[in-house]
Amino acid sequence: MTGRVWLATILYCAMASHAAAHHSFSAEFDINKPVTLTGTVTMVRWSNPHGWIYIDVKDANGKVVNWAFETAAANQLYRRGWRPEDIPTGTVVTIDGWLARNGSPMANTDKLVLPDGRKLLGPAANAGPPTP
Amino acid sequence: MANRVVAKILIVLLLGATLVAHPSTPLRTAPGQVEGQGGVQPTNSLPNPYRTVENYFKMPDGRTWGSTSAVEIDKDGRSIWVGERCGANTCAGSNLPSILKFDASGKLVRSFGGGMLIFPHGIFVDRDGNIWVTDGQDNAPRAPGTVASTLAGPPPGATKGNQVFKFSPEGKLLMTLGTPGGAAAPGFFYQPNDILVAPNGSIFVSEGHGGANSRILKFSKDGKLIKTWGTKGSGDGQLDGPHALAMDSQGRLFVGDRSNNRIVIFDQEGRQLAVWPQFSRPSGVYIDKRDVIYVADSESESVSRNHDGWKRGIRVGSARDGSVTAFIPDPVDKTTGTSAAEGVAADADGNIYGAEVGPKALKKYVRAPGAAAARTLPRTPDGKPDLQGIWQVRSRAAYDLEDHPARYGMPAGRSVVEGDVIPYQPWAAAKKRENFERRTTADPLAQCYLPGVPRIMYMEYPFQIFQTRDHVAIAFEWQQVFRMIYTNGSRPALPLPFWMGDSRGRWEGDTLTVDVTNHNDHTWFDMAGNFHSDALHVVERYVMVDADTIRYEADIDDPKVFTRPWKISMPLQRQKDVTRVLEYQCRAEMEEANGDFKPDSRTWYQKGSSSAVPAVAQQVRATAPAVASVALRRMPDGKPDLSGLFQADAGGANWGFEPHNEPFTPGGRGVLVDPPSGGLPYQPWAKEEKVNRNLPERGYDDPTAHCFAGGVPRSLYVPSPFHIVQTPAYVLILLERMSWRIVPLDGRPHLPDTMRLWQGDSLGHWEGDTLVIQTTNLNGKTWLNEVGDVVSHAETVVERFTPASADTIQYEATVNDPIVFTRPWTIAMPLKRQEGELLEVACLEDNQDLQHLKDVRDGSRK
Repeated sequence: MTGRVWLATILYCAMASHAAAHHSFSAEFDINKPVTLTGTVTMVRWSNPHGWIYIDVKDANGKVVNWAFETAAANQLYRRGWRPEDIPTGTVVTIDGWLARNGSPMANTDKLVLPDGRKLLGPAANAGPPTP
Repeated sequence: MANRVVAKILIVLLLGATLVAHPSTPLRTAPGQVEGQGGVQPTNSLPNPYRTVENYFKMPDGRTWGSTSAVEIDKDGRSIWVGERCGANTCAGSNLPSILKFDASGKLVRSFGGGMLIFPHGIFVDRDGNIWVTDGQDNAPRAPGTVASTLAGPPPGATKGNQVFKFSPEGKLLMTLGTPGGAAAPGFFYQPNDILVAPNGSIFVSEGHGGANSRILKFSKDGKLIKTWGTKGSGDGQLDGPHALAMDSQGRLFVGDRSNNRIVIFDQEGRQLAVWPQFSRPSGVYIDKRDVIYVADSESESVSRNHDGWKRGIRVGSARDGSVTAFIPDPVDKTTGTSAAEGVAADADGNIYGAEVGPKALKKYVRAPGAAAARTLPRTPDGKPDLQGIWQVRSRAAYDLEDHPARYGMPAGRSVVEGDVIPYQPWAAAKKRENFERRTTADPLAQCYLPGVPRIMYMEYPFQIFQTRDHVAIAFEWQQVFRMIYTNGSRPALPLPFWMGDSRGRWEGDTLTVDVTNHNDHTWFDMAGNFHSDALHVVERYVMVDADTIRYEADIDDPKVFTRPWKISMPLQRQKDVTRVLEYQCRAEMEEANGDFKPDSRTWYQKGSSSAVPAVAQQVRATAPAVASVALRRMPDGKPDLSGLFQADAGGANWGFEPHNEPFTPGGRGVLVDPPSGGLPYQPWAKEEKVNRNLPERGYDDPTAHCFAGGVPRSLYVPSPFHIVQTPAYVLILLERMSWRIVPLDGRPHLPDTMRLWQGDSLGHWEGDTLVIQTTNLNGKTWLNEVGDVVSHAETVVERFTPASADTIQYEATVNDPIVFTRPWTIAMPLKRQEGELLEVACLEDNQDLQHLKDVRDGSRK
C-alpha cells in the first residue's frame, strides 16, 4: 500500500464513521440544500466540538466569499491520524456539503477532495463508534 | 564575675516580669505574634520529621573537622560553604584554608583563605555568588583569665582579625571591611559575628560576642558605613550578643539576639518591628526563599542557665507568621558547653545543615521516610503516600500569585511566588499590566474556559484525588474539570496543545513529581492576568507533609515570557468536613443567569417539587448474565477490574433509542430492551414535547449544544470515550467531554433531595461481578439525546456494568421517571475497550454551532 492510499484510507475513516456530534445537525443544516464549491483554503480550525475549514470562493461576478465548512471534532480527526499539515492554507479543494439554515456562507461537509485525490467523506454528524 | 552574671540574669528576669505585666509594651508591635517572652512556653514538643546524616562532608586526607559555626548555601541552591576553624577552635598559627565549598554529594570542591582568618564565625553568599565571612576574634596576646566582656574593643597588640572579607566564588579577595585587628566604636569591628547583604546591596554586620559592645552596622554596597544601632542590654532597642543575621522575603532583618534568648526583627533602617522568643536562644538563624525559618540553639541549659526548660536543637517554622512547626533536638542531654548546631542553613530541597562548635562537626538533616511525620502518612498498598481524598488550597493565589492588596472581588493575599516577583520579560510585564486592567472580561475564566495547570490546583473549590498504581486522577468541582496524571511511565501521546496540558507523573521517594507539557497559550495563572505562552513547562511536586496537608509546588519555565524559571508553593488541606465534591457548571450557571438557557417548569427541579420524586426502589430487570466462566480482569480484592478507556457501541442512542435511519444522523439499531416494543412509554404531554424538540428551531435547546454536561445515562452513549478509574472505595468515570461521575462504593446515603446535580448523585455496589450504580438527585435540565427524548427531575437511574470479557462490559440502564413515563424502561449496549488515551474536548473553545442554532430559532420566530 502506498503512503498516499494509506492516508486516503485514514481520511475516509475519519470523516465517514467517526465524527463527534454535540448538537442536532438537522437543526443547523438543511438536507434539502446540497451545495458544491471549489475554493482556496484560508484557514483550518482544529478545534472542538467541531473543526472548521474556511475557503475563499469566487462567484460569477468575481466577488470572493469566504465559506466555512464544518467537519468532525478535532479529537476525532487526530485519533485517525490527521494532522494540521495535511490541509495547508492555499490548497485548492472542492467540497460537497449541505447549506446552513441561517443563510450564512456556511455548510456541513459531505465530501472534500484534495488536489492529489485524497478525500474526506461524510457529514460531521455521521458519528458512531470507531471502526475496527 | 559570678556575681556579675547573677546580677545580669536578675535584670533579665525583672525585665521579663515587667513585660508580662504590661503586654502592651511597644517591644512587641507586630500583630498576631507571640506576646511576652516571659509568658512563652518552651517549644520543645514538636515533631522531628528529619533524619540526621553524620559524616556526610568529607575532609581531605589528613585533615579533621574543627569547630564551625559558619555554614551557608551557594547561589546554586545545592552546594554548601563552610567557615572551619582549622581542625581546632581557632586558626591562629595555622595556614590551613578555612573557607570550604562542598558539592551536594559532600565532596570538597574548593578551599581558600589559608592564614587570613583567626576565627571564621559568620558567612553569607550574596545574590552574585560572592562569599562574605566575618573573623570574630583577633590575635592580641591575652593574659590567662582576661575577661572579654569588660572590653569594648580589642586589647593592645591585635594586628589581625575582627574584620569582614568578601571573596569571589573562586576565592579572590574583593573587599575588606574594618581595621586589621579591630577597633572599638565608633571604629569597627570588635567581635563581628555575622554578615548579611540585602538584595539591594546594603551590607549588615552584627557585632559583639560577649564584649561590652552589641550593635548592628549598616554599610553601603561599596563598604561605606551608613549607620549603626543597638547598645548592649536587654531592653527595648538593646542587644546582647547579636550572634546571627537573616532576612525574609519582605526584607525584614532578623537578628539572633542570643543572650537575650530572642530574635529581634528590624526594618533595614533599624526600626524594631517585632520580638520573637518562641525560637529559643538563637545562635544561628537562616531563612530560605520560601520564608521557612531555621533557628539553632546551642546554649540553653548548658552554656546559658537563664533559659532553663528550653531544649537545645534546631527549630523550624515560618518567618511569615512566627509559628514553630518542627524541632530537631540536640542528641546530647546534659552538658555545660556549647552543643548542637551554632550555625544553620537549608538548601533548595529543604535539607538542613548544622555547623557545630562543641562537637566539631557539620551535620546534614534530611526529611525522609522513617522520620516521625513520614511514619504517620497514609499509604497505598504499594507504599506510596496515599493522596486520596478531598482537598482545597489554603491560599489567595487564585486571585494573584504575587503579594496583592484587596480589589473589588479580589481579596488581599500574600505571595506564593518564591522571591515574590514573577520575572517577566519587559514586553510581557507590559502585557500582564494590560491583562490586569482588562481582567474582568479578558480572564479566560470569565467565559468559563478551562483554567489550565497550575491554576486549577489553587482555585478556591474542592477537588478529589483518586490514586492507582498507573494513574493519579483529580476531579474538580469547578466546571467538572478533571486531570489524568499518568504514572505508568508513558510519555505524551500527541504533540498537541490542550487547555489542561498533558500530565505525566513519577514518584521520587515520597514526592509525586508531575511534568505538565502541551499547554496552549490561552490560559492564565490567576485572576490578576499573570500569563504564559505555549512554551510553558510546569513541574509540579506533591509532598504530603502530614495526613491532612500536601505541600504543592510548581516550577514554572517559559523562556518566551520570563527571564528565568520561577516557583510557587502553597499548602493543600484535606477537607475533612466535605464528603462529596459537588458541581459548579460555570457556563450553565452563566447562561441561566443571563437568560440564554431558560428553565422548563415541567422538567427542571424547583425547591418544593420534591414530593413528586418517588422512592428510589425500581423494577430492575434481573438480567445479570452468568460470567463466571469468562476470563476477566480482576482487582486484588477479587472484584472485576473495569478500569481503562471505553466507548459505548451505542447503536445510535444519541439520536434515538428505537431503530432509526434518517438523513444526517447515524443509523440506529435500537437499544431499547424494555418495553420490547412500542417505543418509550411516554406520558401524553411528554410525547408531544419530544416531537416539538425535534423541530429545527428547538436544536438550540439541547443542553449539549451549549456544551453542558450530558447527564445520566446520556454521558455514556454520546460518541466520545470515557476512562474508568477503579479503586476499592470508588469508581470514577472521566468523560472525554470534560465532565466526571464520582461513584462511592462505601454504602453511604444519597444527598438530600434538595441537592440537584447535572450528573446526579451516583452510589455503587457490587452484585456478584456486576457493578450496580444507582443515580438520584438529577436536576431535570438534560435531554436524553439529540432528538429530544425527555426526562425530568423525577428521573432516577439504575445502571448495571457486567464484564462480558476482558475488553467488553455489557451495559444496561433502567430509567424511572413517573413525571415523563408511564413505567420504567431499559436500554442496553456493550461498552468496548479502546486503544490510546483520553484527549480533551474543550467544547467551549470554538462552539460556533450554538450561535447558528440560535439564528435558526430566532428566524422561526419572525
